[in-house]
Amino acid sequence: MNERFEELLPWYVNGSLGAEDRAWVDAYLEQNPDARDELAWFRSLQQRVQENAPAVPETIGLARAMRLIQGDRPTLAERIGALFGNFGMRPSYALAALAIMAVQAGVILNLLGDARENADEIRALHAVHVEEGPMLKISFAPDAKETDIRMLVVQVQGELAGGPGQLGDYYLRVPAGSEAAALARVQAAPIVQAASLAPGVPPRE
Amino acid sequence: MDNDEVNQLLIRIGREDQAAFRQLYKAFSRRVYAYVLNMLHDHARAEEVVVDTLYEVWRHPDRFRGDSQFSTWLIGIARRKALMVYRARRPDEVHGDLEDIAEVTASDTPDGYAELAGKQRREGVQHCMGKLSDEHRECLHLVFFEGMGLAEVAQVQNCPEGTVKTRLFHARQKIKNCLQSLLRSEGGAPGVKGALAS
Repeated sequence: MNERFEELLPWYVNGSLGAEDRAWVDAYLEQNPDARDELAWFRSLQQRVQENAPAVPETIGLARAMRLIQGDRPTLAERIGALFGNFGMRPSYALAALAIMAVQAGVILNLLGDARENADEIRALHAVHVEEGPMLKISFAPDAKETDIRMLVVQVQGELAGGPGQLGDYYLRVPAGSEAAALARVQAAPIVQAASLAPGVPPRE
Repeated sequence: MDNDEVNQLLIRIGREDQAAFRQLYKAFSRRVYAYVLNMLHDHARAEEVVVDTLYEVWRHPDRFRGDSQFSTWLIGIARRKALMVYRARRPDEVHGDLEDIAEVTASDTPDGYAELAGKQRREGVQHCMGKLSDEHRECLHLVFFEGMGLAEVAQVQNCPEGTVKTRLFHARQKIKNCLQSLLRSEGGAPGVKGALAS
């Protein structure tokens, strides 16, 4: 069978072929009646592909999408950007300034803590509240939105037990017995970069 | 819905008009769902991807610049999201890439095509499409369900047009061979005109 005809036929069948190529295929079909069987086969295939489409309502997922929209809030970065934008500062500078302020605050608090601890001759270890139940350690994608994270937490009936840690990990407690299913669900979520079962929330998380 | 109508809705969506979003959602949700389900074979996840895809339109309606059909652009977004879900699947969920279907060329005899066209049933084609590799199945879906042109398919699949042609060619051969096997197993083809023997 003619190579050009074979190449053009799928596009002829789906109606996306340009006028010139379409005329060429029409002429070829006129001169080669046998080629019409190939055309019939492709049309049959197209019909079956279209019949295979799932019968779902146009509102599939719409309620969820509307909930997302109605609960839509700007991300933290956007809120900070807007706040500093009011002072005429570019968002990137605003974030950098905020980061510096956070580091400074951390250093100061740490120094204060050390001073207090050194003053105690006998001191107890930091009291750590150990969360009970299966725990998932999750790293979210950088562009994960708060609403998406919340929805995922609800889907696995989870409860935020810790995080974000220094590496950005969160710890999610899930109902006992459902950890495998919850882990699979979390791993499949597009907003999750990595997830694994964790023995518990590490201290200082 | 053509691009002009879509653009009107996108402008309204940019003003946080929920009714406009609802209208756009209803116009495209089924197509996106059909496409994603064809990739993931998982109704729940397909629905999630549909929601996520159209939610992205709500968040960034200005990203559509009208360089292509809106549906092509939208399916491009759905594709990226579906691929993320696909890659995150557990190993036991992963379908094999069924390259094991022989690519022996089916007979091009007229009777063969007539026989095949007449006999291919809904279940048979569904079964055989399920045996194609992901790229081949996606390619057939974009051509015969979405009705996309060569350039659009190449854009969505992020590959050269020549690759699309090759994928179509191999997909066609594989489906023919698969249907041929089905016909044989039903005791049909070989005895009848010996049409589909490779």
